[in-house]
Amino acid sequence: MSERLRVCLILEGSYPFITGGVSSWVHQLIQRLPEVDFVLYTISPKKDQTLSYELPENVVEHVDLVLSERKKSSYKSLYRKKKIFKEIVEMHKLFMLNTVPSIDNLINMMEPGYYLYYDSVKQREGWNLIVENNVKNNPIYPFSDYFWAWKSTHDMIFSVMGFEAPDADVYHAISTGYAGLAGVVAKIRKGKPLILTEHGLYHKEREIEIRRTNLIRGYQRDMWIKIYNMLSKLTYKYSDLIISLFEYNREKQIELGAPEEKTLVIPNGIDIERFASIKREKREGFHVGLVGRVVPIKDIKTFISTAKIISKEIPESQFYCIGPTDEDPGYFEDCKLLVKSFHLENKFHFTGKQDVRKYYSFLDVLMLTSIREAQPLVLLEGFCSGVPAVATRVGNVPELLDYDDNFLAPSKDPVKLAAGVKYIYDNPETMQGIVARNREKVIRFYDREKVYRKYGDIYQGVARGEGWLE
Amino acid sequence: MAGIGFELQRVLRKGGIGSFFKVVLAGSIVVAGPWILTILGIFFIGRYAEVAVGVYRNFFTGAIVYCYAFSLIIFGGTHYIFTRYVADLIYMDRNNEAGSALLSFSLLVTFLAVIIGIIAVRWVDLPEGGNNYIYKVSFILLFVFVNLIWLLMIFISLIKQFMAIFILYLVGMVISFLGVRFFGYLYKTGGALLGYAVGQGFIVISLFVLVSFHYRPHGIEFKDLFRYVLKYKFLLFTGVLYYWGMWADKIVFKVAFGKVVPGSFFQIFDYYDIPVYIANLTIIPGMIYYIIVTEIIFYIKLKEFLKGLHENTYDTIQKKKYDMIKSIRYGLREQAIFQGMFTIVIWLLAKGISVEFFGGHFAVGVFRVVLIGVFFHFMLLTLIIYLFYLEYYIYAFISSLVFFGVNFGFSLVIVFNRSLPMLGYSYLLGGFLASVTALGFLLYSVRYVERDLYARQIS
Repeated sequence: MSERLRVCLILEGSYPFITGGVSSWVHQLIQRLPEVDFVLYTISPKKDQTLSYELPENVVEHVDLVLSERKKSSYKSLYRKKKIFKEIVEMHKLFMLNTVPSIDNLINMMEPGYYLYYDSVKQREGWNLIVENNVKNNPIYPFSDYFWAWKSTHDMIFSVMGFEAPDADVYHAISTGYAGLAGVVAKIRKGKPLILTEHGLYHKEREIEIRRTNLIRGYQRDMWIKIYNMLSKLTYKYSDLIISLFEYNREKQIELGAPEEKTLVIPNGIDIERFASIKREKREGFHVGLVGRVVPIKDIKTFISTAKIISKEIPESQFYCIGPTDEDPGYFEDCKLLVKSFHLENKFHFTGKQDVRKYYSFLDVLMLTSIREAQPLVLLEGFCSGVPAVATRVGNVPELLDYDDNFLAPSKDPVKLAAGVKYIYDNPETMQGIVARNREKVIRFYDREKVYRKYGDIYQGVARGEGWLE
Repeated sequence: MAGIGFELQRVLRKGGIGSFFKVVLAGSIVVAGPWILTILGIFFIGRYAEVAVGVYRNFFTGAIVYCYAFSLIIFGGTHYIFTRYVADLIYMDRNNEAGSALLSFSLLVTFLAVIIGIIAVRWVDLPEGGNNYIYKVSFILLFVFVNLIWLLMIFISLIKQFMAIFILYLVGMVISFLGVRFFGYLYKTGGALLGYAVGQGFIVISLFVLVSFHYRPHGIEFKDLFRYVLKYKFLLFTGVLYYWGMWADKIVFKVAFGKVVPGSFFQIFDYYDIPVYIANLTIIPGMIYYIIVTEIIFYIKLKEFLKGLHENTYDTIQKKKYDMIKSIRYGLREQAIFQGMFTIVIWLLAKGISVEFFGGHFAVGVFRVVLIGVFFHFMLLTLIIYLFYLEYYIYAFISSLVFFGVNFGFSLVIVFNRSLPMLGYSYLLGGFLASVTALGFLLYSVRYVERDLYARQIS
């Protein structure tokens, strides 16, 4: 081990190219642990993407695996290829039995730089696997459709398996999927520990996306879902430590095969000082705000529908959508039209990107209408600032809201959300106690400094082979 | 080439002796244009214009034979790449680019042929009275024209005006014949060669004009062609080795046993050369049968199979594949029977041919051995075309390597042992072993052809 600890963060579709919750978390993790050298191992769909973050000084190396780039390679030795494919066939047999196989032998047989794109088709054993699965599972569909579906599901796996990971003392995958697989491959090849942090549940998120899209249908849908599940299971099997942000996700990880003794919950944290110092001042009227980007996943349209209901019951109410509007211009236009058709132009305000503290100082209710979340930091920020919240029942939200049905609503249910807001409006005394309790909880458990320090300790412990300290 | 087969089949279906002859003539031109021209040219000129050729007859025939042989030995391999390139352009409906490719490649070949010709004629000096300078210029011109005719042949199979093409060939031959007589009387041997070259030049120019009507060139373009050379290198190597294999025994025996024509590098070895040229003519009917019958049957099955690869279930693909394999087996069997029967008949007539056409001065034994060699050579050619269709270029290359290696190696053994009775056996053995190799590769690999085609698509 070198003098300074070298941690390789394995990232897929996030930092440092894409902004968002996970990226922001990674950026802060790197900044808060200046004593650690970080190596970024990113998995990108195309090369030469623009960086969305200025890399901190302790990022010492950045390696980008571009999935769209195909490298032709094939072993000359037929014997060697036979051995590799024997292993692959055995592995698939276990997959079929829904068992997670060990891939140590396979990875050790394949040198970095050897990609299976070609041999998986050209080698007879590989081809037979494709054909057998086609005949067994999809005999009535054109073989060509099956072949190209197989290829698109497997190519990225081959890219990851053939790629040489940078050297590090600890590998830290920030999701399962291809990043998780890259972590597994790195762990086997380099013999170093692997940590996994899942902000959401990768396979579940992908499954939702696949079920929503019209591009993938029928058996191809099942194929993709199976592969994502298997990638998650494989990552769980090989990780030395599996971290989730909240208890619900930890349980889901265990359900999918994560060994319970390796799982740990480390929630996201916020800058306590920044939000605890906000001075609250009551403004005339009743102010409801949603902090988030104007994008479909945040379901701003449900927020507007909720505003329509509330505005009838609480005539003095005002609504604020606080966040960037430029990410999905089409969706933003739809939202503006909805506001207009509900005649809410004087009540509903798109503020654009703002310093949220200004709004936390006077908001009476913080609203969250997302259809998907992991652990929304805005709720923590709101609680710390003294703002109560009404939210959809997604991710860690129920836990944050103490499973109190008064403040929780199913996704896309403006009536129930409006009822939650009305409850807060009608019960100011009750709310005082709840707000104080929420604030105390955030200060105690969600302090960003403590969270990142914990990661520092985990890196040290895992690298020394001592495990981690609770 | 399958396009021409369909067209000829259509003509044949009209019925009547006229259609039959039309098909035979057009087929002969397509499968062996310059080859027939060379042999018939030498035969007719030798018989009816010998006086015009002058006293240096060997210089005249040597020039024609060497131009023909070395056009294949040097440039034959490139024809395969060029055919593939042009076929792809025409398949993509980029006809103008196909015309440009012909123009560009013709210019390149002309340039190289002129250089090679200039170098070659440095070692040929016609004795006084033969008009050495005219001879040398005519030699270079003839070498260029023969090379260009090979290239134009690739296109004439695509143009359906077979009668027009046949007439152009015929007119060209008549011009050659008259040219030999006319210029031969004026300028002796040099003039005779000039006259012959003028006729060949007419064929080149008229065919080029005809082709340009259909595939109008719009410029000169080499980049893509060179890209093809890199991409299909085994196709190029196959072509080179196939032609080397075809000529290896002839060249080795000429050098070892032939007589040098004084004042030139020409080696004359009529004892072997004449039976070889005559025996090689027996390929022509087989090739015509191949393009009209065998190739069409296979092509239809291949097309169905390839279409099925994209549209059908795996079981249906397998069924279509085995239908295609059946068509290959059937085609090979039919070709073997057809060519075999033809070979047997000629084998039995060998003595008669010797007496009738050569006054008994003809090596019947060698002829018979070479006849069998031609049979295997023909089977090899058929197998190589199948391998090309399925894009197994590496296997075609290995088979050609065997053809060349065995023929060349065994020819050397014969030369070192000075065993004249063994003449022809190296060609026979090379053809036999190469055919067996190609057959093995074809029958083995075609069973997994769908896998290979998918693998190729992703490589």
